[in-house]
Amino acid sequence: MEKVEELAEALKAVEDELNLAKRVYLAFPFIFWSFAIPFMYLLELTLIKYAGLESDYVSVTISLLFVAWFLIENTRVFRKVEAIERVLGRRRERKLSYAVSQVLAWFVAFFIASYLYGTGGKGMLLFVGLALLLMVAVDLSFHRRVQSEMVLAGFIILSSTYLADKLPVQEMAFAIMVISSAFSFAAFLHIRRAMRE
Amino acid sequence: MRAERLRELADSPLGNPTRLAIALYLLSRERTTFIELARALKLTPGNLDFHLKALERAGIVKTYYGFGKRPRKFVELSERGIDELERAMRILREVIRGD
Repeated sequence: MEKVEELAEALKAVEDELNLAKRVYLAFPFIFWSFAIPFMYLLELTLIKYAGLESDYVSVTISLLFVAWFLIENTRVFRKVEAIERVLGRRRERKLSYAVSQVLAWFVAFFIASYLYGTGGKGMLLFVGLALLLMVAVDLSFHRRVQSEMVLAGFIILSSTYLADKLPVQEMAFAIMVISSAFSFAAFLHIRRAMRE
Repeated sequence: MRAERLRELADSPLGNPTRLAIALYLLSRERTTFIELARALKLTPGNLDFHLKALERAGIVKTYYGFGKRPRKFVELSERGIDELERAMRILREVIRGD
């Protein structure tokens, strides 16, 4: 009996470590975009200024390249999370409708934001903030769970639209700073919660 | 029933505690180096090499060399390794629950 108790304790310790690793992996999208968004913006400005490239062309190309990079990296992360969950005895169900809904959330947010505010700083804030909240709604309807870090990031970004044209900083630069800080904050909360659980 | 399940685990490629620890260590990483693995699990290079060869033969891990300042041996868990680990952990949970 004592041996079984020891085994149970050891298994619990292993599962705790795996849960921690999983949570850290789940913070990956926030960490990626918190570095990528300011970097993309600065790269775009530099290329327009010194390479004489057309603004729209540079913006679309850089965005597509970073989205492709993110998808590659995130697929690797997702595979790790899936493997950890399998070992923890929680097999994740792959649903095409879930993936489609998540992508749709970004498209819907993009159309609403560009319709209301165009593609400036305010539009960017509304686009990202709304997309995050729509993704939370998708998660809630499919998995009955709420990622509080994502809700918080979404609200911080959405509420910042009010300040976008009121501060002595260029609107787009303000939007980039807000999104990047909100994402870093979400990643910080994610990892901190993982350490406490 | 419990003894039967434990025997089933002991007969599997991850039936040895050191091999189970190696697989668990690799699960949360994409890959690791031989040196890092030996250090983390407090194993001598000879001992680790012995267990890795057994795991490689069973298709649980993949090892390959990468080049930096000097050649380094990398180790990663295979898809079969994840399956076996899932099975081993399931058996352990069942043993604890007394199924």
